[in-house]
Amino acid sequence: MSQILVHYFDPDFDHMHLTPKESVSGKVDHYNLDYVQNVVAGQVLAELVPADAPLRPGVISPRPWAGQPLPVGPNTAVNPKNAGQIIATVNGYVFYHEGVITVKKLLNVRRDVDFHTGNIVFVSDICVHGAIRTGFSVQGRNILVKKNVEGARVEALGSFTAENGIKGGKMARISAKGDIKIPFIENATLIADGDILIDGSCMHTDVWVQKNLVVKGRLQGGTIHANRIVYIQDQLGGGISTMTSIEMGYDPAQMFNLRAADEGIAKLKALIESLEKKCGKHAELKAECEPKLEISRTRLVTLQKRRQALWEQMTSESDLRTCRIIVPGQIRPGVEISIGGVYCVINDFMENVCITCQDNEIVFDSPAMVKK
Amino acid sequence: MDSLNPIQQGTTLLIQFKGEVTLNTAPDLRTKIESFVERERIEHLVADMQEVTFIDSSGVGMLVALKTKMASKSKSLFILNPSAQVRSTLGLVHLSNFFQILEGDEGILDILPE
Repeated sequence: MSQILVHYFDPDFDHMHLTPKESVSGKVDHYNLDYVQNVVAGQVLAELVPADAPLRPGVISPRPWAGQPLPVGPNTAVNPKNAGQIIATVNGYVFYHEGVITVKKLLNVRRDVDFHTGNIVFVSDICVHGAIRTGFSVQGRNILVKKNVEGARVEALGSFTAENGIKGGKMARISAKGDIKIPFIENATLIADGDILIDGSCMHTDVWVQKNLVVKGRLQGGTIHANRIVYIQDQLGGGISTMTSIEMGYDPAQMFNLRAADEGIAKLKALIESLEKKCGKHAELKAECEPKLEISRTRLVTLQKRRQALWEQMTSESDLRTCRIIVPGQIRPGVEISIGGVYCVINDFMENVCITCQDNEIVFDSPAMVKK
Repeated sequence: MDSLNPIQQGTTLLIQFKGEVTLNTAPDLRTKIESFVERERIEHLVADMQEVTFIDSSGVGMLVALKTKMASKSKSLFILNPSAQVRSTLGLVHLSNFFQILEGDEGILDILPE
């Protein structure tokens, strides 16, 4: 009986010749070029079926099969439960290489992430050998970027490293479930569930760090949300005209969610106000806007409840004893410090200090670190 | 698609998966959902997986493909109330934190941005 090999991925996929596709609305999306074909461990990639059997909907490129061995390549295997199926053995991307189906765990992007690649979402580790250009996004497990990151969005489910730093142009947002290591950063938002290590300067950047923040150079501008140790080696702050603030004592992740909820509430209130105005103007407008108004009011109530729950959780979990700001270098005037409910503005030059919260007061100790 | 009971609320689409999500159903579901999302200009796709009794790697592969498609277009995919079996399979393939998981009742959709 003759057989055919059906694929559950595109066997003719060629990442070197990607072209933007036209959507049903006629728009062409240059940011979505399907750069990789993700697969997960155990997923069926291809299978042999009788040539006269009805094909499952969604299968791609059936090919005649003349009885040769199945094209099982690296990180793929014959399904132990079905000898006619090829499965992936790891999470990665799938393609045909030298006539066999291959899955690779590490995605090497040997160029910039730009209009030639589109946005990239990958289930495993990514190494970008070029830069990530403004407006593009990359999501993966551990992410390494060899050149700089511009105003891009990066989401690492593991750690993130950028060997050439981040020039965010007030648009970059870098988040990692693990640690972040970068040589410098400016005009960006940095979010980490682990530690953040910045070898050089951290300029005009909002940082949300769950564990410790280490800046070996200067920290100037922006707001730091941290809950453990903030270590600034050279200089904290940079004159009264540059606002630098450090907020500690609350879970940074929850603070982030709280801020998002606040922004959502503000937007909804503005929307409700404008809809109410429209409803008051004309009967036809009222008929059109009232259902939207009803939905928006319901959403506002839900969001306010969620905000309240977040706030209650946050205040009950805060622990001020773990908060410490260590600055062996200099602190310039104008830096705002808040630890829990205690707040102070530094009005003088300081050097070699450790800032903590004791008995509901902000305490400055010197030297910054005591050798034991 | 009808079997998924799609509920559209503005730019959010809620689809309810039930029973088994396996190789037998996943490729077809993926095609149908992708075309619906594109046609209706959906911004948030919410996959309700509370009543999924079994999902295999091909089913997870379909979710990964949908998430990839949505995220590439700066849109989002959420998994709503995944059943214990779904959670277990996502854990087995190390993709527990690849997806944004929502927990809660119907009102949970209200917190999604427009």
